[in-house]
Amino acid sequence: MPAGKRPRYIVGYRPGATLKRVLLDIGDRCTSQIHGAEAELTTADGTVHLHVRERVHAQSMMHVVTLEFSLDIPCVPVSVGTVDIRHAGMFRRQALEWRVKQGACGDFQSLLMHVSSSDVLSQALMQLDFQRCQLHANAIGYQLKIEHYGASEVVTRLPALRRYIRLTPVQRNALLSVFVAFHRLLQV
Amino acid sequence: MKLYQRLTTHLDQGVIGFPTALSSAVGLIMASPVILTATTGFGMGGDMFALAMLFAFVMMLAQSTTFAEASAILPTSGSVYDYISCGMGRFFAITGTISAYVLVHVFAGTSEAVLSGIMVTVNFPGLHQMLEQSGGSWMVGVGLFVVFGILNAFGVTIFGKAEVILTVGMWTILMIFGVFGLLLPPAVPLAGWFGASTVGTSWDAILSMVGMAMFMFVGCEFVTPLAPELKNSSRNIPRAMAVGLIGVASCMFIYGAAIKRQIVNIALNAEGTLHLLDTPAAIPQFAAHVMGPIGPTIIGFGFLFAGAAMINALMAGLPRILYGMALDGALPSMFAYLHPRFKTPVVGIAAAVAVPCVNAWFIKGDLDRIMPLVLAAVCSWGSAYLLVTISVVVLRIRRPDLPRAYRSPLFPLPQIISSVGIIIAIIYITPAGMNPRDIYLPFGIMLAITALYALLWTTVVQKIRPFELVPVELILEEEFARTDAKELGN
Repeated sequence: MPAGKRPRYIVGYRPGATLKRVLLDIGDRCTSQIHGAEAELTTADGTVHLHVRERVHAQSMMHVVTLEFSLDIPCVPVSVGTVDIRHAGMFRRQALEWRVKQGACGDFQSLLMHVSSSDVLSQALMQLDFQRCQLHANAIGYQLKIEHYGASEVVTRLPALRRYIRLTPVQRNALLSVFVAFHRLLQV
Repeated sequence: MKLYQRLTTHLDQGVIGFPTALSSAVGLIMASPVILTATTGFGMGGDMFALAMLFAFVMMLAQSTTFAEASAILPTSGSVYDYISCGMGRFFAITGTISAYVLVHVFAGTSEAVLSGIMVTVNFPGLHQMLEQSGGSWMVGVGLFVVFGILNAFGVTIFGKAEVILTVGMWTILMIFGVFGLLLPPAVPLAGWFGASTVGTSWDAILSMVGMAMFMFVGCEFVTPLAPELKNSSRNIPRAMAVGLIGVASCMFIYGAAIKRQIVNIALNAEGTLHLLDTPAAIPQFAAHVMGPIGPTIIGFGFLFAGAAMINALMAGLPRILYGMALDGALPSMFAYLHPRFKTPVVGIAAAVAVPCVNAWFIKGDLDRIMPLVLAAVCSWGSAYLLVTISVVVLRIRRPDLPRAYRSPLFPLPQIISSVGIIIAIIYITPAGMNPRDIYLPFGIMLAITALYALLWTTVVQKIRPFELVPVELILEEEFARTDAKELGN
């Protein structure tokens, strides 16, 4: 359930608590402005602005609070479309899969070819433990959303505990590198 | 001073209301081992078990005030680890944390693995008979663990948002069956509300059932980490815990009184040591007696969904915790491995499936071994509670200056009540007819291994003094200092 939509009714959910811990893990690599369960981040060099919000994945007897990082790049995109980015491989990460969900036109495919050919981006993405990574292009620009596997809090009732899963420095650097790389590649 | 102001400000930011606190405080009433414990307890103890439940109820209320104060002093992660670190040092903190979380999972998780299948199939006689002939209906529970392990390994999540429905649903089903059972003419003439005790009325007999009774209130302390987030936590935490405990207790009292009135507790073996109410077979008989042929079906599906939901929660939660521990270096790095495609911690999931299933297979689903496992879980859980209580008392004496949004009333009376109660419950943990060795041996071995691990981890790996108390300020600094710096920088 997205933050802001009655999150307090999930048993044991503490709005903003996970977000604050993740911001501590990010440290001085970004400055931040927190608004409840959401925050605005700016990279230390001031070039990339991110929006972060808590997402609560409720299950019976437990829930997981993850963070969704999103980057908006206002511009006139080459075409409209959505692509899911995933790791490929049976046991080890072998490559990246760019699965187009909408917008299979030539312009969009060309854009993806351009983006996916970046070594910096590929290296950062291969290293990143992302649960979900989606690039969306619409009439007003591009939006990249990443949900990390760590940077989350798991709350269970048997045993009754809550544990924060930290964002390690390696993962933090990879996460920010991905956003910076996308920002450079997509900005017109 | 700034640190205290920061803590006070943090504690004043409560946004969560009483309903959420209450739903947090209602324990794991839907767990199969809890229902079987109630059935067995009322079956053997009758009125005396009800008295044992009252003792356990008072102990849990007293313990709840300790947890509330601990979470008010250290509103960090809600973990008992921080509380015990400040009150008794890292050695006890690691021992207590593993005892509270991991050992309870080993013991209670195994009983859930065995019981969840039996509690479902026993309500469908044809299916149950067929399964018993082909290896045992307990394999159904093991199968549920495997199925939900595989689903979670593939990243498939179900039962989202179902917690309130399942908890309320199971509570309602038990209440409806209980009330109907009370309203119907009794099939068994009882002297009192719950009938006579078959294990005697001595203090020894009553105290030997307090441990079983405690298990019914497992999980009610879940509300306490919410202290900093609760509106008016000093009023809402004890209120939520009291109302939650009363809700669980009333449900169990009504269910216990009803099943004793409607089911003849016949002996199932020649020695007369095993009775119908000691087994899950009593539940479908009770359901059929109260609701007719549809009764077992209703309660069977109730147990199916409740058991599945609980197992799914274990499969979804525990591996992620293991992943976090591996990131921190507390576990081997293989637990931090994520499957490339599904992004799931498959090693942790495999471990979470294997531990209860191998244990269930080891005991061959023997129902006679379940209650000792439940009681071993109570010992583990009680030990952790004791350490938390001692830590809170130590902090009250050594650090009366710490700001506390909630202070345990009548200190140290609640702490004495809960601690003495837990110690007595552990000493008298063995009900009549059980071998103390079956409870103390697994608990003792696991606790000794845990303590040895804690000693080696603190002295060899962390290279710290294991019994040195961690200053509260140090933990609070970690929580707030960097935030302060960050806010100043913004």
